[in-house]
Amino acid sequence: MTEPPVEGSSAAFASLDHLRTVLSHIDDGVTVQDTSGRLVFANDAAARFSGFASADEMLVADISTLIAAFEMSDEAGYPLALDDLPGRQALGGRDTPPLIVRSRIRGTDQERYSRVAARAVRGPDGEVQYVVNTFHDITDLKRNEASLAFVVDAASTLATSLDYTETLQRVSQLAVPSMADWCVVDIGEPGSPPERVAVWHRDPEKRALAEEFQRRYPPAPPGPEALELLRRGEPIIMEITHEMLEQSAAAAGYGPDYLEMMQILDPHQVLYMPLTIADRVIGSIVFLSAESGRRFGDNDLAYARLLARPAALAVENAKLYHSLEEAVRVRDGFLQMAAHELLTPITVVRGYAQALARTVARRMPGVGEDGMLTIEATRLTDGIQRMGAGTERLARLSHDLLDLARIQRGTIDLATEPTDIGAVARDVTEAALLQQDEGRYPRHVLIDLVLPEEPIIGDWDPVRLEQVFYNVIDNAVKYSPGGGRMQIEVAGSADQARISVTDQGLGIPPGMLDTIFQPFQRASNVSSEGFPGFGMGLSICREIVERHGGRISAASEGPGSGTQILIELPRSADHVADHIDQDEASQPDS
Amino acid sequence: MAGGAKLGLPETKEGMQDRHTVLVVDDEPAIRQMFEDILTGEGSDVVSATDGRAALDLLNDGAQPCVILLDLMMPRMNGWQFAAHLQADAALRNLPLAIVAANPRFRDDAERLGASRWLGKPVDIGDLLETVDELCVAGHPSRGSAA
Repeated sequence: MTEPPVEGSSAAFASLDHLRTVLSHIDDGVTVQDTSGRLVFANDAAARFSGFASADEMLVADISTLIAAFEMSDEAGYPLALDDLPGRQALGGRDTPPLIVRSRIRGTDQERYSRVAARAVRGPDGEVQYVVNTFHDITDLKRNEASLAFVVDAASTLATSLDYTETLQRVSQLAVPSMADWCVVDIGEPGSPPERVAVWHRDPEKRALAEEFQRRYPPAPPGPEALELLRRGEPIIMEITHEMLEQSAAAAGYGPDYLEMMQILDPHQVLYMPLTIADRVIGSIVFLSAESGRRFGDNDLAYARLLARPAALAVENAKLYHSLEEAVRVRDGFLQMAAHELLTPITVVRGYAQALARTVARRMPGVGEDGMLTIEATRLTDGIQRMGAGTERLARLSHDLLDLARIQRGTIDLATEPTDIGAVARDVTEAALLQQDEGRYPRHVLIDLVLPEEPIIGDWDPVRLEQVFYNVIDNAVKYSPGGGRMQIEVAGSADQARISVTDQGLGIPPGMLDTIFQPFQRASNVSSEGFPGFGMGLSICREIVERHGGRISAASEGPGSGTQILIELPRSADHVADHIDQDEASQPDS
Repeated sequence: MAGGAKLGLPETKEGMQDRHTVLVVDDEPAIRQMFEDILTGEGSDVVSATDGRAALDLLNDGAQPCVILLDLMMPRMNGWQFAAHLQADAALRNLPLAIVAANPRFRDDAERLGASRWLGKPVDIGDLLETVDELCVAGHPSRGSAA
């Protein structure tokens, strides 16, 4: 070069001075090491990353002091030695890909992530002359990654359980340290004592203190403007200064330990994320930055917003579920109480009604002097019969109600014994026929019974089976307002008994063949007027049949085509054998 | 309100020489009243007690029922406890016992308690009267021959 180059021209930038200026103006750190590993060049950014005031200071510093100031680890957290760094590798002639290095200033929680690359500069013979290292800071990138990962983890954690105390505690743990050094989750209306609080701190020793602080100094109620902001579900970032703390302490009349605790916990910044459901603030998640020196930014606001919705919904869901459970509990409690309360008056009325019927029957044999029933006698007898029918139905209803209460509580017990199901069917049918004769049961449906030739014995609870038959017959009769015929058929095979009850009544619409077995359900083709009852009979039948290990189902061609109820009950082979043995033993040879 | 005249019936039933004496043990006054009215109307004598303790007192004071109608759920001394006391007492052990209870799950207890019958609530009066007749005819006097 004969002339000094023109300022700003490309020739100018070939000079070392200009290059040095360029290098001092880039954000990436650049260093150069000679073959012994000694630093021969460092730019300002490299010096800053390493905690030096200037590049010159860095160059004269001892390498080992330099390294000792940092704890270095890779992305996964495994410690890195000097030899692992790309620079050293390059010096050894090995070109390695860039490495993500996490370096923490020893003794603090301040850490940075860099992408470190090294390229060897080789001489004409290929020997390494020196190595150029570049350090690209990716701390913010890493933090964003971690924050996003936190939001995803937290949102899915919230979905795992209805116990939001547990899940929110987990969320506060997940938040630290990826999002914050200290996290507090608060559920409750702002200004009232919080219902649930989760607290976590990255320093185990400070955790207890953070919890204590939360207990003693819950956040003050927000002012109207703040409340307005909160209701909109907008997160806020606030700086925490000593003056602010002093003012809060003074305003709230806190003792000196408020400031002492804050001094130890030392938060610098807080990101406050309200949880809202339809304009109602139901709680908040508070992220605090302390020892790591982390600064919350717009990205963090975005991440907080992402989490707020699932968090608020999880809490709201859980609350709704619990109040639903409570409502069911109250209903079942009422059911139980109602059933018991009704029992005594029904017992009394039925008792007197039956006694009256007996008295009338004895005193009025049915014919008067002229061989005809007098009108009064007829009216009285009819009235008494109807009263009898009414009390029978009341008695059955109260029994069903009691049973339903027991089903809800899961306390229906079976007392099984070898039972001839045909005999049970016969008893119930005969009783129904008798009641029909006596006018205590509707007569418009003819009841037929078809029994097998051989008795079908099984391990069943005869009283409960009776109940099943009563309910199924009742149903068939009740839903055959046009009359007709109903048939009960009992059959069996080696391992089960099959009962089918067919009527010519209203039938069941398609799609409801299963719902009719649920409590309080009625088929849609039946209006609730004119068909009294609580709609429990079939659900009780199902409970009893299933407790026996059996199945009950309904079949119908549709409205107007009648219904068929099918019951399958497994027999117990052992029991059948026992019964037969007993029978054979007691019968003489004939 | 007791007495056979209430339901307009003759005082003795056809075919029965002696009046049955029934001990009714139930904590519900309406139920005791109903049993009293109906059984008296059918020609029996009725003594009633509000719980097991009162029933034991009646028996120890010399009541000689030919059958006991026993509720299970009562305060102070319930049906199970009362039945246990009966079994433990040689003089009372043979008194016929019919349990009158709402919950069919206690049916199994009947035998264990020394009961001869189990009647479900709400009680069917026909069943009740049959039970009383059968147990009173089949049973023995409660205190041997010293009556």
